[in-house]
Amino acid sequence: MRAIVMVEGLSDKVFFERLLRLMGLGQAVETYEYSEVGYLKIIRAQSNLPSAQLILLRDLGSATGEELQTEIDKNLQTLGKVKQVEAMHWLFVESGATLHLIPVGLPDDDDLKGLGIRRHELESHLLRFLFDHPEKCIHERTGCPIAKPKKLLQEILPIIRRYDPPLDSAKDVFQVLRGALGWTGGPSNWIGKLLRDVKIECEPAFQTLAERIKQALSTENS
Amino acid sequence: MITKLELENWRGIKRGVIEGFQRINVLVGRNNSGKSSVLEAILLFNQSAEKLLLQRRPKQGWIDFIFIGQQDGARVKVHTIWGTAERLIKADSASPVMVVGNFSHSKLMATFDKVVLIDDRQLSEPNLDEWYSQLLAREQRLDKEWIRLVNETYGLCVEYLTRMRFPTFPTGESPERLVAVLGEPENRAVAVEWLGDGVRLGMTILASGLATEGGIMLLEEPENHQHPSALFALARSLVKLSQEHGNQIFTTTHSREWMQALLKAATELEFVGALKFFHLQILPDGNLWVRSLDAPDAQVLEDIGYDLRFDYEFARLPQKVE
Repeated sequence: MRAIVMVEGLSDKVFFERLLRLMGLGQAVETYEYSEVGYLKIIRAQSNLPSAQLILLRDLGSATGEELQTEIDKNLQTLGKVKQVEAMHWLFVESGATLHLIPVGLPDDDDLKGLGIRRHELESHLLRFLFDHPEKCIHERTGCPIAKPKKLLQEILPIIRRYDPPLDSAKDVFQVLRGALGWTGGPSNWIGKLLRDVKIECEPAFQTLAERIKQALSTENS
Repeated sequence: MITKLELENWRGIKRGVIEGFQRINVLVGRNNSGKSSVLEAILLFNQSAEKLLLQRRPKQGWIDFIFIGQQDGARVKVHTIWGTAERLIKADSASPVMVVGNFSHSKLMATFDKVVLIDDRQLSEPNLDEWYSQLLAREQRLDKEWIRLVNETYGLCVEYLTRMRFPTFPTGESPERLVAVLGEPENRAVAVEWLGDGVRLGMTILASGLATEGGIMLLEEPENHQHPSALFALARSLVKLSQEHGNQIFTTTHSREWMQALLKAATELEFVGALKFFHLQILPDGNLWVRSLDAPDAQVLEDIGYDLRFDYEFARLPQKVE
């Protein structure tokens, strides 16, 4: 039996498909993007699928994990016949389908805070990964001479913010860095380059996500 | 209109209940998942069921319709908006199909007299002639409506149908057959039996729908022989039939394109609330697993690229019995 992983956008789909493959879970899950239809409609449609395993990856934005959980719970209650069984975990009582919420973003990361990032998305994890491995991610993979992305952002963000405040989302900051690095092309291209040969579960940038995904799947299969 | 179906020891299904039927019902599932058995269970309520069902499965007779080794025989019960009806089948009885329960409501009987099952076996039978006669015989001639639907579905320019000796040879040896007279730009006649399989199957489906107005259409994989361009037009014509003539439709399918075509047609014709999908699978113990999905939910899943035909991969079904 396979799990249904719901992600926010195209970059997220490309990233999580790759991450799940690297975790050896490529066959165990199928990833769907919900930006067009909204996650709640997908959950409603699948909530009567017996014992379906639904995993919702949702950007934290400016919320805390608890706030995000409250928001999701409020929306789920509109579907009826659903109860929260533990933190970030709901059960559809008639079908036995379950939903796990995995918040995306790194709100406690000091480097990201230091850069003025207040809204968190997938790009929070990508920035962390680039900060941790500038040589590997930038020099070796893209041939770009810039070796210290954090330092570069510290220099250019204040200048850009003068013209375009508040520039406080990880997505926007990542776009700035992408522009500075001259990374063009779609997400399949640059995410593919970034994540080549990465031992996902050893990387602090992705560790939380990987652990939560594994935990969600193991809860279901236990 | 049928709202619910209960099956017991019917063909490969030991026990199954399907409820929440709508005007247009799409049955999907893997091979040997019980889709055709559901259609045949409904056909069982037609007065000519014996003839129709034994024609489909002529090998051994009624014993083939009973779940293996079940002495009690098979039982099929339908719930309709007019009441319920039940059939009991005993393989060893002189009259194997028995009517039990309440089957007296005239509307119920009239509906089941207008049950028709269309599959591609009919391509080998000259049945279009029969349907043509039925449409002509109606008080309000429906052959013109049939031609209109066929032209609309297949982009043809049939002006009228007629029975004539065709083609005409001086010796007069040509057989009498149903001929379609084509208008501009073709301006020629063509024997209906010479038309392609897809067109003839589509003509059969549309004629049967018109002839059994307000009845029940059972369509076995109607996507067969159809070019993708014809699928949407055929779906549109079927949705119209249901909408305007009150037919209840049950279609089995393995085609995602057919499912998409029905969704699109129902949405365009504002009949989406009347379309429903049912995923069937026979479990190892013989019980029937059913997951139903209203059209708006099916559309959401279609929009994200989820393939309804593979529902079973994402559900935890009972494991194989040791």
